[in-house]
Amino acid sequence: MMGQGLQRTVILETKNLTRDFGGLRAVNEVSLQMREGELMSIIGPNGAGKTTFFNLLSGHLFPTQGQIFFRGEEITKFPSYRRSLLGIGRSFQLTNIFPNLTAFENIRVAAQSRKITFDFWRNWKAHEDLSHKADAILKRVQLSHKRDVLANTLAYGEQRYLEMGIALATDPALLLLDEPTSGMSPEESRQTAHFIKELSKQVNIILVEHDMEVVMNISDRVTCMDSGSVVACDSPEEIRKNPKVQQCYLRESPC
Amino acid sequence: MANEQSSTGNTEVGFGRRKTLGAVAIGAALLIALPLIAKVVPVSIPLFSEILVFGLFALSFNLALGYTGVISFGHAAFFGVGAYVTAICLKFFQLPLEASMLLGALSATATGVIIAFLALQSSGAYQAVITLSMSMVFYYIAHMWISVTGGHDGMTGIPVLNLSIGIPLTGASAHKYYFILAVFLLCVFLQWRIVNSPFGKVMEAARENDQRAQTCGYNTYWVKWSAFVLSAFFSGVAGTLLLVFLEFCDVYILYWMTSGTVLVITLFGGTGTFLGPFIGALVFLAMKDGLSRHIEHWEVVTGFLFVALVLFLPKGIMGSLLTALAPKPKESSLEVAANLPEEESKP
Repeated sequence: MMGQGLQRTVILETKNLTRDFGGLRAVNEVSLQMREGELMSIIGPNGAGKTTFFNLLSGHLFPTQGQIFFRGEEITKFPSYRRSLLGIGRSFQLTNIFPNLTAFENIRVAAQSRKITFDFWRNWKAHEDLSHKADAILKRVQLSHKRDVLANTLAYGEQRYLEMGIALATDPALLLLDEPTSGMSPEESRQTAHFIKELSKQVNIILVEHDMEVVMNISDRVTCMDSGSVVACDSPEEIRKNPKVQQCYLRESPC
Repeated sequence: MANEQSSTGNTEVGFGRRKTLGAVAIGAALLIALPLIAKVVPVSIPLFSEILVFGLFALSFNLALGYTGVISFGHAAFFGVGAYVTAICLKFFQLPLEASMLLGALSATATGVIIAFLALQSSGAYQAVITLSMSMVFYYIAHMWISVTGGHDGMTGIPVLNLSIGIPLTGASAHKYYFILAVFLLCVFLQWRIVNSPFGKVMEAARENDQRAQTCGYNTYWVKWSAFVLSAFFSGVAGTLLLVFLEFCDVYILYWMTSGTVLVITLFGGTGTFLGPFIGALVFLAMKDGLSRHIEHWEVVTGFLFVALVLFLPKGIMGSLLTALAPKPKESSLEVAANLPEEESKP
């Protein structure tokens, strides 16, 4: 496992990544490496700094200290749109879609970002490849039958899938998924876990997830965070056994 | 769960592009035939010229507000700069009308560039205040610089308007109406191209969800900036047409009330639709024309109507009309039903 891991190229690396909010250190000197072909999950109790860490990776927040490298290039100070163009896509914990556009247009406009922005003259339909791509992705996220429905009228679970579709439409090399199963029923969660596992054969994925069953079933590697710091980073089996990890979850459970 | 149906409010999709084009063609034909119609039915050509001018202004304003979600309370600046610069070129430099109008529109665009940089530093109410105060700067310039602009009395003494090919555009002539109509239709065509272009779709994405659009890889700052400047350009063209219409410049063109008027017109018509703002101008100016003949303070009536409109037809006249006309979602619910088993059998 280790040997195999070392041969793969590092796609994302953080060095001592730190973010303070006033006196609160939300992310504390996190140094992680993510290798090509991996599905890595980040777990941890509420307030562990998982989403803040994600926001640092996607450029929605900037670190107080530390550096981020994507495929060897330093991206610490890049705004989010540049990171997206480099190949970092993300979904959000709270559904984040284009509410008054159709499902199709939500995905088509995301796909368009790889090709063209400042074309004022031609009709958008002239870029047929983008429409085909959007339809293919709609099919992949099982929303073809809702193609021309406004996104804000979709059911909650469908919106979660639509959001993953938006992220996929930008051809990411690395996909950051922030609690894709939050608010889903256990059955929907299982389906989504399966979907993410299939997806991870083509895209590198970092997953923030609360649902332990999902995490342990599909991850190649699990990172546990607590109070902004990395507690452990290991295979799912080792994480399950790790006493430090157990402790930070025990502490949280109400008693 | 999957049966949950949607399409109400889905006007853009429901009404469709072909019907919109049909409605536009009929409207354009009526406008072109208007001088003929006026011989039979008592319609006022100058009123319709004014409707075209303010209609274009509102359509241009809607590029920023409706399509891109950029709030501006300062569009009077672009409208006024367009009119004043055209007037100055005509009066002091004796330039041909076409060149003056072009310079007027370009000056409005330059004004838009500056105001866009300042306005897009913030959003919401701050954006409104910045655009409002910037436009008032231009009002005070026009107000104080009496030697050029005539100050409070407005700018008069503009030479008789003539097209370079020798057609005079004076008074209530049909020539003048047709010239305004031609520029109007050209601008509407250009705007139609823009909102249906790939860029137009990015404008909508930036309006719907700025953060998401950025995460998709769009630099939404420049998207909004470009949309704002385009809006300023077309508003400037509307301003030059206002000068052609009035044949003088009134300093109140630059006053904040003008920005308010274009906002009210746009909301009357409906921000969510392409032609709504024009319909707003049609209704608003026709109402003003009709009411002001009988009621001295016609604005009071308009105010009440506006409140009623916001309360009962929040999508505006055009938006509500399109919703009412949109086909009921029969077809798509069948489609959903047909898709149900497939969805349930997914792994």
